[in-house]
Amino acid sequence: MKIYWLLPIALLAACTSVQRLIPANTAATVGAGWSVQSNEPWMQFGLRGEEWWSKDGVFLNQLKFIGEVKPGEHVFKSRVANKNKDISPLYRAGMSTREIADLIQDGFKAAGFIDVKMLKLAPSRFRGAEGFRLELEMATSKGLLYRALIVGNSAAPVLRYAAYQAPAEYYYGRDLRSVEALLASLQ
Amino acid sequence: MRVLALGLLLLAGCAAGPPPKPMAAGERPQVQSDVGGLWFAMDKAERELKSSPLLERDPKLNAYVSNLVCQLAAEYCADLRVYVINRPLFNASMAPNGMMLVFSGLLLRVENEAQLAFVLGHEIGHFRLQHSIQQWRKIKNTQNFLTAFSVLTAGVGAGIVGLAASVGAYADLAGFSRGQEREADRFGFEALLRAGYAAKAPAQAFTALLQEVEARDERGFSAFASHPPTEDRAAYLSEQAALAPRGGREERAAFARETQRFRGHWLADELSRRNFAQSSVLLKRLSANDPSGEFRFYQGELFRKRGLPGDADRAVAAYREALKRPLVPVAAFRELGLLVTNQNERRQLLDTYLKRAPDAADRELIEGYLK
Repeated sequence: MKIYWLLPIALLAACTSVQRLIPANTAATVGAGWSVQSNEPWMQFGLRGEEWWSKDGVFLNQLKFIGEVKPGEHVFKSRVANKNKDISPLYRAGMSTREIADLIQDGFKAAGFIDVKMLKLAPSRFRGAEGFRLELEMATSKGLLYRALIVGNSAAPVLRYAAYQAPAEYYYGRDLRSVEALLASLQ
Repeated sequence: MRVLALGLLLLAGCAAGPPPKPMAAGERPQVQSDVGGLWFAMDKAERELKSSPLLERDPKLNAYVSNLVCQLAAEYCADLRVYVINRPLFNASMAPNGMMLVFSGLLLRVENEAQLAFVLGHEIGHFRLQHSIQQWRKIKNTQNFLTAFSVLTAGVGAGIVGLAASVGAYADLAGFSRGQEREADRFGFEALLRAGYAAKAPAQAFTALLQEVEARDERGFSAFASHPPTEDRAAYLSEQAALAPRGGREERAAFARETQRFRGHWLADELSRRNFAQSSVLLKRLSANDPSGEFRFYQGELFRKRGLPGDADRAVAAYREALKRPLVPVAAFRELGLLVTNQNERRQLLDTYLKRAPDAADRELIEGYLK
Protein backbone atom coordinates (compact mmCIF):
# COMPACT_ATOMS: atom_id res chain seq x y z
CA MET A 1 0.00 0.00 0.00
CA LYS A 2 1.39 3.34 -0.97
CA ILE A 3 2.70 5.53 1.78
CA TYR A 4 0.31 8.41 1.13
CA TRP A 5 -2.63 6.18 1.92
CA LEU A 6 -1.17 5.01 5.22
CA LEU A 7 0.30 8.30 6.30
CA PRO A 8 -2.92 10.05 7.34
CA ILE A 9 -3.99 6.95 9.24
CA ALA A 10 -0.66 6.72 10.99
CA LEU A 11 -0.79 10.40 11.81
CA LEU A 12 -4.33 10.03 13.07
CA ALA A 13 -3.11 7.62 15.68
CA ALA A 14 -0.71 10.26 16.91
CA CYS A 15 -3.24 13.08 16.88
CA THR A 16 -5.69 11.90 19.51
CA SER A 17 -6.60 15.46 20.43
CA VAL A 18 -8.56 15.89 17.20
CA GLN A 19 -10.92 13.00 17.78
CA ARG A 20 -14.30 13.32 19.45
CA LEU A 21 -17.35 11.20 20.02
CA ILE A 22 -20.46 11.85 17.95
CA PRO A 23 -23.27 10.42 20.08
CA ALA A 24 -26.24 8.66 18.50
CA ASN A 25 -29.17 10.77 17.30
CA THR A 26 -27.10 13.91 17.09
CA ALA A 27 -26.98 16.51 14.35
CA ALA A 28 -23.34 17.08 13.45
CA THR A 29 -21.57 19.35 11.04
CA VAL A 30 -18.83 17.68 9.04
CA GLY A 31 -15.75 19.31 7.59
CA ALA A 32 -17.35 19.81 4.23
CA GLY A 33 -19.88 22.13 5.92
CA TRP A 34 -22.63 19.59 5.53
CA SER A 35 -24.99 18.63 8.32
CA VAL A 36 -25.62 15.00 9.09
CA GLN A 37 -27.76 13.08 11.55
CA SER A 38 -25.85 10.35 13.35
CA ASN A 39 -28.01 7.36 14.17
CA GLU A 40 -25.32 5.51 16.11
CA PRO A 41 -22.25 6.63 18.03
CA TRP A 42 -19.24 7.37 15.79
CA MET A 43 -15.77 8.66 16.48
CA GLN A 44 -14.81 11.70 14.45
CA PHE A 45 -11.17 12.18 13.50
CA GLY A 46 -9.79 15.27 11.88
CA LEU A 47 -6.45 16.09 10.43
CA ARG A 48 -5.50 19.20 8.48
CA GLY A 49 -8.95 19.78 7.12
CA GLU A 50 -9.64 16.14 6.32
CA GLU A 51 -12.16 14.19 8.33
CA TRP A 52 -12.95 10.52 8.97
CA TRP A 53 -15.64 8.88 11.00
CA SER A 54 -15.13 5.40 12.36
CA LYS A 55 -16.67 3.05 14.89
CA ASP A 56 -13.94 0.49 15.39
CA GLY A 57 -10.84 2.16 13.91
CA VAL A 58 -10.12 3.42 10.44
CA PHE A 59 -8.88 0.06 9.16
CA LEU A 60 -12.18 -1.58 10.12
CA ASN A 61 -14.64 1.07 9.05
CA GLN A 62 -14.09 4.47 7.61
CA LEU A 63 -16.60 7.07 6.54
CA LYS A 64 -15.18 10.07 4.76
CA PHE A 65 -17.00 13.23 3.75
CA ILE A 66 -14.92 14.42 0.84
CA GLY A 67 -16.77 17.67 0.31
CA GLU A 68 -15.94 19.59 -2.83
CA VAL A 69 -13.36 18.34 -5.30
CA LYS A 70 -12.47 21.18 -7.64
CA PRO A 71 -11.22 20.73 -11.21
CA GLY A 72 -7.54 19.80 -11.18
CA GLU A 73 -7.69 18.33 -7.67
CA HIS A 74 -6.96 14.70 -6.81
CA VAL A 75 -10.22 12.77 -6.62
CA PHE A 76 -9.47 11.94 -2.96
CA LYS A 77 -8.24 15.50 -2.34
CA SER A 78 -4.93 13.88 -1.45
CA ARG A 79 -2.25 16.51 -1.04
CA VAL A 80 0.72 14.18 -1.34
CA ALA A 81 -0.57 12.54 -4.50
CA ASN A 82 -1.20 15.98 -5.97
CA LYS A 83 2.56 16.35 -6.38
CA ASN A 84 2.37 13.82 -9.23
CA LYS A 85 -0.22 15.79 -11.13
CA ASP A 86 0.59 14.25 -14.48
CA ILE A 87 -0.26 10.75 -13.34
CA SER A 88 -2.70 11.33 -10.48
CA PRO A 89 -6.43 10.71 -10.87
CA LEU A 90 -7.52 14.32 -11.15
CA TYR A 91 -11.08 15.51 -11.39
CA ARG A 92 -12.12 17.50 -14.46
CA ALA A 93 -15.21 19.65 -14.79
CA GLY A 94 -17.81 18.04 -17.03
CA MET A 95 -16.90 14.44 -16.26
CA SER A 96 -19.81 12.05 -16.66
CA THR A 97 -20.90 9.81 -13.80
CA ARG A 98 -19.29 6.90 -15.64
CA GLU A 99 -15.98 8.77 -15.81
CA ILE A 100 -16.16 9.79 -12.16
CA ALA A 101 -16.66 6.14 -11.21
CA ASP A 102 -13.63 5.26 -13.35
CA LEU A 103 -11.60 8.01 -11.69
CA ILE A 104 -12.49 6.87 -8.17
CA GLN A 105 -11.51 3.29 -9.07
CA ASP A 106 -8.17 4.52 -10.38
CA GLY A 107 -7.77 6.47 -7.13
CA PHE A 108 -8.15 3.30 -5.08
CA LYS A 109 -5.71 1.47 -7.37
CA ALA A 110 -3.19 4.28 -7.01
CA ALA A 111 -3.63 4.05 -3.25
CA GLY A 112 -2.48 0.43 -3.38
CA PHE A 113 -5.71 -1.53 -3.57
CA ILE A 114 -5.80 -4.50 -5.94
CA ASP A 115 -8.52 -5.97 -8.13
CA VAL A 116 -10.75 -2.92 -7.77
CA LYS A 117 -14.09 -4.04 -9.21
CA MET A 118 -17.26 -2.09 -9.77
CA LEU A 119 -20.22 -3.95 -8.30
CA LYS A 120 -22.86 -1.34 -9.02
CA LEU A 121 -23.22 2.13 -10.46
CA ALA A 122 -26.69 3.62 -10.35
CA PRO A 123 -28.45 6.97 -10.21
CA SER A 124 -29.21 8.06 -6.66
CA ARG A 125 -30.14 11.16 -4.69
CA PHE A 126 -27.37 13.00 -2.85
CA ARG A 127 -28.08 15.94 -0.57
CA GLY A 128 -31.43 16.50 -2.24
CA ALA A 129 -30.10 16.50 -5.79
CA GLU A 130 -29.56 13.96 -8.55
CA GLY A 131 -26.41 12.00 -8.02
CA PHE A 132 -24.90 8.56 -8.10
CA ARG A 133 -24.29 5.50 -5.97
CA LEU A 134 -21.13 3.49 -6.63
CA GLU A 135 -20.31 0.18 -4.96
CA LEU A 136 -16.82 -1.29 -5.22
CA GLU A 137 -14.94 -4.35 -4.10
CA MET A 138 -11.16 -4.47 -3.75
CA ALA A 139 -8.37 -6.23 -1.93
CA THR A 140 -5.40 -5.05 0.05
CA SER A 141 -1.95 -6.32 -0.91
CA LYS A 142 -2.32 -8.99 1.78
CA GLY A 143 -5.59 -10.17 0.31
CA LEU A 144 -8.05 -8.65 2.77
CA LEU A 145 -11.22 -7.94 0.83
CA TYR A 146 -12.81 -4.52 1.28
CA ARG A 147 -16.05 -3.07 0.01
CA ALA A 148 -16.80 0.59 -0.51
CA LEU A 149 -19.92 2.66 -1.00
CA ILE A 150 -19.56 6.08 -2.59
CA VAL A 151 -22.46 8.48 -2.96
CA GLY A 152 -22.20 11.89 -4.53
CA ASN A 153 -22.98 14.19 -7.37
CA SER A 154 -21.23 16.39 -9.83
CA ALA A 155 -22.60 19.86 -10.31
CA ALA A 156 -20.43 22.10 -12.45
CA PRO A 157 -17.73 22.67 -11.73
CA VAL A 158 -17.26 20.57 -8.59
CA LEU A 159 -17.62 16.94 -7.47
CA ARG A 160 -19.10 16.27 -4.04
CA TYR A 161 -19.17 12.86 -2.42
CA ALA A 162 -18.91 10.78 0.70
CA ALA A 163 -17.29 7.35 0.89
CA TYR A 164 -17.66 4.45 3.27
CA GLN A 165 -15.27 1.51 3.26
CA ALA A 166 -14.83 -1.54 5.47
CA PRO A 167 -13.62 -5.13 5.24
CA ALA A 168 -16.15 -7.14 3.24
CA GLU A 169 -16.30 -9.80 5.87
CA TYR A 170 -18.55 -8.76 8.79
CA TYR A 171 -17.86 -5.02 9.12
CA TYR A 172 -19.20 -3.73 5.79
CA GLY A 173 -22.49 -5.58 6.00
CA ARG A 174 -22.92 -4.93 9.71
CA ASP A 175 -23.03 -1.16 9.29
CA LEU A 176 -24.30 -0.76 5.74
CA ARG A 177 -27.93 0.04 6.59
CA SER A 178 -26.87 2.44 9.30
CA VAL A 179 -24.39 4.17 6.98
CA GLU A 180 -26.96 4.43 4.17
CA ALA A 181 -29.40 6.10 6.57
CA LEU A 182 -26.69 8.45 7.76
CA LEU A 183 -25.70 9.37 4.20
CA ALA A 184 -29.35 9.90 3.30
CA SER A 185 -29.54 12.48 6.09
CA LEU A 186 -26.74 14.61 4.60
CA GLN A 187 -27.85 18.17 3.94
CA MET B 1 12.11 3.86 -1.00
CA ARG B 2 14.06 4.63 -4.11
CA VAL B 3 16.28 7.02 -2.15
CA LEU B 4 16.89 4.31 0.43
CA ALA B 5 17.60 1.80 -2.29
CA LEU B 6 20.05 4.21 -3.87
CA GLY B 7 21.75 4.70 -0.52
CA LEU B 8 22.09 0.99 -0.04
CA LEU B 9 23.46 0.55 -3.50
CA LEU B 10 26.05 3.21 -2.79
CA LEU B 11 26.91 1.50 0.47
CA ALA B 12 27.10 -1.76 -1.37
CA GLY B 13 29.65 -0.24 -3.67
CA CYS B 14 31.92 0.49 -0.69
CA ALA B 15 32.39 -3.14 0.30
CA ALA B 16 33.79 -5.98 -1.64
CA GLY B 17 33.10 -9.66 -1.28
CA PRO B 18 34.41 -12.76 -2.95
CA PRO B 19 32.22 -14.16 -5.73
CA PRO B 20 30.18 -17.06 -4.35
CA LYS B 21 30.92 -20.62 -5.40
CA PRO B 22 28.66 -21.61 -8.28
CA MET B 23 25.81 -23.80 -7.09
CA ALA B 24 25.00 -27.08 -8.75
CA ALA B 25 21.51 -27.83 -9.99
CA GLY B 26 19.30 -28.85 -7.09
CA GLU B 27 21.77 -27.61 -4.47
CA ARG B 28 20.55 -25.65 -1.46
CA PRO B 29 22.85 -23.64 0.80
CA GLN B 30 23.50 -24.89 4.31
CA VAL B 31 20.93 -23.47 6.72
CA GLN B 32 23.55 -22.09 9.10
CA SER B 33 25.36 -20.16 6.36
CA ASP B 34 24.64 -16.52 5.53
CA VAL B 35 23.24 -17.55 2.16
CA GLY B 36 21.09 -20.14 3.91
CA GLY B 37 19.64 -17.39 6.10
CA LEU B 38 18.83 -15.31 3.06
CA TRP B 39 17.14 -18.29 1.39
CA PHE B 40 15.12 -18.89 4.55
CA ALA B 41 13.82 -15.31 4.39
CA MET B 42 13.05 -15.65 0.70
CA ASP B 43 11.24 -18.94 1.28
CA LYS B 44 9.06 -17.20 3.83
CA ALA B 45 8.38 -14.41 1.36
CA GLU B 46 7.47 -16.97 -1.27
CA ARG B 47 4.98 -18.66 1.04
CA GLU B 48 3.30 -15.29 1.59
CA LEU B 49 3.37 -14.55 -2.11
CA LYS B 50 1.31 -17.65 -2.78
CA SER B 51 -1.70 -16.08 -1.07
CA SER B 52 -1.26 -12.62 -2.63
CA PRO B 53 -4.14 -11.22 -4.68
CA LEU B 54 -1.52 -9.88 -7.08
CA LEU B 55 -0.81 -13.36 -8.39
CA GLU B 56 -2.21 -14.31 -11.78
CA ARG B 57 -3.49 -17.80 -11.11
CA ASP B 58 -4.47 -18.84 -14.62
CA PRO B 59 -2.86 -22.30 -14.89
CA LYS B 60 -2.38 -22.15 -18.65
CA LEU B 61 -0.54 -18.82 -18.62
CA ASN B 62 1.61 -19.87 -15.66
CA ALA B 63 2.43 -23.15 -17.36
CA TYR B 64 3.38 -21.31 -20.55
CA VAL B 65 5.82 -18.95 -18.82
CA SER B 66 7.16 -21.71 -16.54
CA ASN B 67 7.79 -24.01 -19.49
CA LEU B 68 9.65 -21.25 -21.25
CA VAL B 69 11.80 -20.70 -18.17
CA CYS B 70 12.46 -24.43 -17.97
CA GLN B 71 13.49 -24.57 -21.58
CA LEU B 72 16.01 -21.78 -20.98
CA ALA B 73 17.24 -22.96 -17.56
CA ALA B 74 17.86 -26.55 -18.69
CA GLU B 75 19.11 -28.62 -15.74
CA TYR B 76 18.29 -25.78 -13.32
CA CYS B 77 14.59 -25.93 -14.24
CA ALA B 78 13.60 -27.62 -11.00
CA ASP B 79 15.33 -24.88 -8.99
CA LEU B 80 13.09 -22.12 -10.35
CA ARG B 81 9.47 -21.25 -9.58
CA VAL B 82 7.71 -18.67 -11.72
CA TYR B 83 4.93 -16.36 -10.48
CA VAL B 84 3.04 -14.07 -12.84
CA ILE B 85 2.18 -10.84 -11.00
CA ASN B 86 -0.67 -8.63 -12.15
CA ARG B 87 1.02 -5.23 -12.13
CA PRO B 88 1.32 -2.93 -15.13
CA LEU B 89 5.08 -2.52 -14.81
CA PHE B 90 7.83 -3.64 -17.15
CA ASN B 91 9.60 -5.83 -14.69
CA ALA B 92 10.78 -9.27 -13.76
CA SER B 93 12.87 -10.20 -10.77
CA MET B 94 14.77 -13.15 -9.46
CA ALA B 95 15.21 -13.96 -5.79
CA PRO B 96 18.25 -15.98 -4.73
CA ASN B 97 16.12 -18.99 -3.72
CA GLY B 98 14.76 -19.41 -7.25
CA MET B 99 11.52 -17.41 -6.94
CA MET B 100 11.03 -15.57 -10.21
CA LEU B 101 8.42 -12.82 -10.54
CA VAL B 102 7.18 -11.93 -14.01
CA PHE B 103 5.04 -8.81 -14.15
CA SER B 104 2.03 -8.53 -16.44
CA GLY B 105 3.39 -5.20 -17.70
CA LEU B 106 6.30 -7.15 -19.20
CA LEU B 107 3.97 -9.67 -20.86
CA LEU B 108 1.94 -6.80 -22.29
CA ARG B 109 4.99 -5.09 -23.74
CA VAL B 110 6.93 -7.90 -25.38
CA GLU B 111 5.73 -8.75 -28.86
CA ASN B 112 6.84 -12.34 -29.21
CA GLU B 113 8.20 -15.32 -27.34
CA ALA B 114 11.79 -14.57 -28.32
CA GLN B 115 11.66 -11.14 -26.62
CA LEU B 116 10.17 -12.68 -23.49
CA ALA B 117 12.73 -15.49 -23.56
CA PHE B 118 15.57 -12.97 -23.44
CA VAL B 119 14.19 -11.23 -20.34
CA LEU B 120 13.57 -14.58 -18.62
CA GLY B 121 17.05 -15.72 -19.60
CA HIS B 122 18.46 -12.50 -18.11
CA GLU B 123 16.73 -13.28 -14.81
CA ILE B 124 17.96 -16.86 -14.87
CA GLY B 125 21.41 -15.35 -15.35
CA HIS B 126 21.05 -13.41 -12.09
CA PHE B 127 20.18 -16.69 -10.37
CA ARG B 128 22.91 -18.79 -11.89
CA LEU B 129 25.55 -16.12 -11.32
CA GLN B 130 24.22 -15.54 -7.78
CA HIS B 131 24.09 -11.80 -8.13
CA SER B 132 21.64 -11.37 -5.26
CA ILE B 133 24.00 -13.17 -2.96
CA GLN B 134 26.94 -11.06 -4.03
CA GLN B 135 24.83 -7.98 -3.42
CA TRP B 136 23.62 -9.30 -0.11
CA ARG B 137 27.15 -9.93 1.11
CA LYS B 138 28.20 -6.46 0.13
CA ILE B 139 25.30 -4.87 1.96
CA LYS B 140 25.81 -7.14 4.95
CA ASN B 141 29.32 -5.80 5.34
CA THR B 142 28.03 -2.32 5.95
CA GLN B 143 26.90 -0.84 9.25
CA ASN B 144 23.33 -0.80 7.93
CA PHE B 145 22.94 -4.53 8.06
CA LEU B 146 19.56 -4.56 9.78
CA THR B 147 18.12 -1.84 7.59
CA ALA B 148 19.44 -3.62 4.55
CA PHE B 149 17.97 -6.91 5.67
CA SER B 150 14.53 -5.47 6.31
CA VAL B 151 14.45 -3.62 3.02
CA LEU B 152 15.83 -6.54 1.05
CA THR B 153 13.44 -9.08 2.52
CA ALA B 154 10.50 -6.68 2.34
CA GLY B 155 11.53 -6.07 -1.22
CA VAL B 156 10.79 -9.57 -2.32
CA GLY B 157 7.72 -9.79 -0.29
CA ALA B 158 8.34 -10.73 3.33
CA GLY B 159 5.84 -8.78 5.40
CA ILE B 160 4.35 -6.84 2.54
CA VAL B 161 4.70 -9.46 -0.08
CA GLY B 162 3.22 -8.77 -3.43
CA LEU B 163 3.34 -5.03 -3.35
CA ALA B 164 4.68 -4.04 -6.67
CA ALA B 165 6.53 -1.09 -5.29
CA SER B 166 8.32 -3.33 -2.83
CA VAL B 167 9.07 -5.97 -5.35
CA GLY B 168 10.37 -3.24 -7.59
CA ALA B 169 12.45 -1.93 -4.72
CA TYR B 170 14.02 -5.36 -4.37
CA ALA B 171 14.88 -5.24 -8.00
CA ASP B 172 16.37 -1.81 -7.41
CA LEU B 173 18.35 -3.10 -4.48
CA ALA B 174 19.32 -6.33 -6.01
CA GLY B 175 19.24 -4.22 -9.17
CA PHE B 176 22.73 -5.01 -9.29
CA SER B 177 25.75 -3.29 -10.60
CA ARG B 178 26.10 -2.31 -14.21
CA GLY B 179 28.56 -5.16 -14.61
CA GLN B 180 26.14 -7.67 -13.15
CA GLU B 181 23.38 -6.46 -15.45
CA ARG B 182 25.70 -6.85 -18.40
CA GLU B 183 26.63 -10.36 -17.24
CA ALA B 184 22.95 -11.27 -16.98
CA ASP B 185 22.32 -9.81 -20.43
CA ARG B 186 25.12 -11.94 -21.83
CA PHE B 187 23.73 -15.01 -20.09
CA GLY B 188 20.20 -14.27 -21.35
CA PHE B 189 21.48 -13.75 -24.88
CA GLU B 190 23.35 -17.06 -24.90
CA ALA B 191 20.33 -18.89 -23.50
CA LEU B 192 18.20 -17.28 -26.22
CA LEU B 193 20.50 -18.51 -28.96
CA ARG B 194 20.80 -22.01 -27.48
CA ALA B 195 16.99 -22.27 -27.56
CA GLY B 196 16.97 -21.25 -31.23
CA TYR B 197 15.30 -17.87 -30.83
CA ALA B 198 16.02 -14.89 -33.07
CA ALA B 199 19.09 -12.94 -32.01
CA LYS B 200 17.50 -9.66 -33.11
CA ALA B 201 14.61 -9.97 -30.61
CA PRO B 202 16.27 -8.47 -27.49
CA ALA B 203 17.47 -5.36 -29.30
CA GLN B 204 14.03 -4.88 -30.86
CA ALA B 205 12.38 -5.14 -27.45
CA PHE B 206 14.71 -2.69 -25.76
CA THR B 207 14.69 -0.21 -28.62
CA ALA B 208 10.90 -0.14 -28.41
CA LEU B 209 11.04 0.24 -24.66
CA LEU B 210 13.42 3.16 -24.95
CA GLN B 211 10.73 5.07 -26.81
CA GLU B 212 8.42 4.59 -23.84
CA VAL B 213 11.07 5.62 -21.35
CA GLU B 214 11.72 8.80 -23.29
CA ALA B 215 8.01 9.61 -23.10
CA ARG B 216 8.15 9.49 -19.32
CA ASP B 217 7.50 12.66 -17.43
CA GLU B 218 10.37 13.17 -15.01
CA ARG B 219 8.01 13.72 -12.11
CA GLY B 220 5.92 10.72 -13.03
CA PHE B 221 5.99 7.17 -11.82
CA SER B 222 7.70 5.10 -14.45
CA ALA B 223 6.80 1.65 -15.65
CA PHE B 224 10.51 1.00 -15.66
CA ALA B 225 11.24 1.17 -11.97
CA SER B 226 14.07 -1.28 -12.42
CA HIS B 227 16.09 -2.64 -15.30
CA PRO B 228 15.90 0.69 -17.08
CA PRO B 229 16.41 0.15 -20.77
CA THR B 230 19.30 2.44 -21.52
CA GLU B 231 20.70 3.39 -24.88
CA ASP B 232 23.83 1.52 -23.86
CA ARG B 233 21.88 -1.62 -23.31
CA ALA B 234 19.96 -1.41 -26.57
CA ALA B 235 23.24 -0.72 -28.38
CA TYR B 236 24.94 -3.69 -26.70
CA LEU B 237 22.09 -6.00 -27.64
CA SER B 238 22.18 -4.73 -31.24
CA GLU B 239 25.93 -5.43 -31.39
CA GLN B 240 25.38 -8.94 -30.08
CA ALA B 241 22.65 -9.55 -32.65
CA ALA B 242 24.95 -8.42 -35.47
CA LEU B 243 27.58 -10.94 -34.35
CA ALA B 244 25.10 -13.82 -33.98
CA PRO B 245 23.77 -16.09 -36.70
CA ARG B 246 20.80 -14.64 -38.58
CA GLY B 247 17.40 -16.20 -38.44
CA GLY B 248 15.99 -18.00 -35.45
CA ARG B 249 12.42 -18.22 -34.30
CA GLU B 250 10.30 -15.41 -32.87
CA GLU B 251 7.14 -17.41 -32.08
CA ARG B 252 4.88 -14.38 -32.41
CA ALA B 253 1.76 -16.49 -33.00
CA ALA B 254 2.44 -18.81 -30.09
CA PHE B 255 2.96 -15.86 -27.76
CA ALA B 256 -0.24 -14.17 -28.97
CA ARG B 257 -2.20 -17.40 -28.56
CA GLU B 258 -1.14 -17.71 -24.91
CA THR B 259 -1.50 -14.08 -23.88
CA GLN B 260 -4.24 -12.55 -26.05
CA ARG B 261 -7.08 -13.29 -23.67
CA PHE B 262 -5.36 -11.31 -20.91
CA ARG B 263 -4.60 -8.27 -23.06
CA GLY B 264 -7.77 -6.35 -22.29
CA HIS B 265 -7.23 -6.70 -18.55
CA TRP B 266 -3.56 -5.72 -18.85
CA LEU B 267 -4.35 -2.73 -21.04
CA ALA B 268 -7.01 -1.51 -18.59
CA ASP B 269 -4.44 -1.81 -15.78
CA GLU B 270 -1.91 0.05 -17.91
CA LEU B 271 -4.30 2.97 -18.40
CA SER B 272 -5.10 3.03 -14.68
CA ARG B 273 -1.51 4.22 -14.14
CA ARG B 274 -2.59 7.42 -15.86
CA ASN B 275 0.87 7.83 -17.31
CA PHE B 276 -0.66 8.75 -20.64
CA ALA B 277 2.61 9.74 -22.31
CA GLN B 278 4.05 6.24 -21.90
CA SER B 279 0.77 4.43 -22.56
CA SER B 280 0.28 6.38 -25.77
CA VAL B 281 3.64 5.23 -27.15
CA LEU B 282 2.93 1.67 -26.07
CA LEU B 283 -0.54 1.54 -27.65
CA LYS B 284 0.71 3.03 -30.89
CA ARG B 285 3.41 0.37 -31.13
CA LEU B 286 1.24 -2.58 -30.18
CA SER B 287 -1.64 -1.57 -32.45
CA ALA B 288 0.58 -1.05 -35.51
CA ASN B 289 0.45 -4.68 -36.61
CA ASP B 290 -2.74 -5.76 -34.91
CA PRO B 291 -6.01 -5.84 -36.82
CA SER B 292 -8.23 -6.25 -33.76
CA GLY B 293 -10.56 -3.65 -32.30
CA GLU B 294 -9.10 -4.12 -28.84
CA PHE B 295 -6.15 -1.75 -29.16
CA ARG B 296 -8.31 0.88 -30.90
CA PHE B 297 -10.78 0.68 -28.04
CA TYR B 298 -8.02 1.25 -25.48
CA GLN B 299 -6.66 4.11 -27.54
CA GLY B 300 -10.14 5.60 -27.20
CA GLU B 301 -10.00 4.94 -23.48
CA LEU B 302 -6.66 6.74 -23.26
CA PHE B 303 -8.10 9.83 -24.94
CA ARG B 304 -11.23 9.74 -22.79
CA LYS B 305 -9.26 9.43 -19.56
CA ARG B 306 -6.65 12.01 -20.54
CA GLY B 307 -9.23 14.65 -21.38
CA LEU B 308 -7.02 17.15 -23.20
CA PRO B 309 -8.66 19.56 -25.64
CA GLY B 310 -9.70 17.53 -28.69
CA ASP B 311 -9.45 14.20 -26.88
CA ALA B 312 -13.21 13.63 -26.88
CA ASP B 313 -13.21 13.77 -30.69
CA ARG B 314 -10.15 11.52 -30.81
CA ALA B 315 -11.89 9.05 -28.49
CA VAL B 316 -14.99 9.01 -30.70
CA ALA B 317 -12.85 8.29 -33.78
CA ALA B 318 -10.96 5.51 -31.98
CA TYR B 319 -14.16 3.86 -30.68
CA ARG B 320 -15.72 4.05 -34.16
CA GLU B 321 -12.63 2.43 -35.65
CA ALA B 322 -12.67 -0.24 -32.94
CA LEU B 323 -16.28 -1.13 -33.68
CA LYS B 324 -15.42 -1.83 -37.32
CA ARG B 325 -12.93 -4.51 -36.25
CA PRO B 326 -13.06 -7.94 -34.61
CA LEU B 327 -12.42 -8.58 -30.91
CA VAL B 328 -13.83 -5.28 -29.73
CA PRO B 329 -14.77 -5.05 -26.03
CA VAL B 330 -18.49 -4.56 -25.48
CA ALA B 331 -17.72 -1.40 -23.47
CA ALA B 332 -16.93 0.31 -26.81
CA PHE B 333 -20.67 0.58 -27.47
CA ARG B 334 -21.19 2.26 -24.11
CA GLU B 335 -18.28 4.67 -24.35
CA LEU B 336 -19.14 5.76 -27.87
CA GLY B 337 -22.82 6.00 -26.89
CA LEU B 338 -21.96 8.34 -24.02
CA LEU B 339 -19.93 10.61 -26.30
CA VAL B 340 -21.97 10.96 -29.49
CA THR B 341 -24.39 13.84 -29.80
CA ASN B 342 -26.90 12.22 -32.16
CA GLN B 343 -29.66 10.96 -29.87
CA ASN B 344 -30.74 8.09 -32.14
CA GLU B 345 -27.20 6.80 -32.47
CA ARG B 346 -26.66 7.24 -28.73
CA ARG B 347 -29.79 5.21 -27.94
CA GLN B 348 -28.84 2.48 -30.40
CA LEU B 349 -25.31 2.14 -29.01
CA LEU B 350 -26.40 2.08 -25.36
CA ASP B 351 -29.15 -0.42 -26.17
CA THR B 352 -26.60 -2.67 -27.85
CA TYR B 353 -24.32 -2.38 -24.83
CA LEU B 354 -27.08 -3.47 -22.45
CA LYS B 355 -28.11 -6.35 -24.70
CA ARG B 356 -24.55 -7.62 -24.94
CA ALA B 357 -23.75 -7.05 -21.27
CA PRO B 358 -26.96 -7.99 -19.46
CA ASP B 359 -25.21 -8.21 -16.09
CA ALA B 360 -23.32 -4.93 -16.44
CA ALA B 361 -22.59 -3.29 -13.07
CA ASP B 362 -23.64 0.08 -14.49
CA ARG B 363 -26.90 -1.20 -16.01
CA GLU B 364 -29.13 1.05 -13.89
CA LEU B 365 -27.12 4.13 -14.82
CA ILE B 366 -27.24 3.37 -18.54
CA GLU B 367 -30.95 2.53 -18.38
CA GLY B 368 -31.41 5.93 -16.74
CA TYR B 369 -29.81 7.59 -19.77
CA LEU B 370 -32.23 5.77 -22.06
CA LYS B 371 -35.38 6.97 -20.29
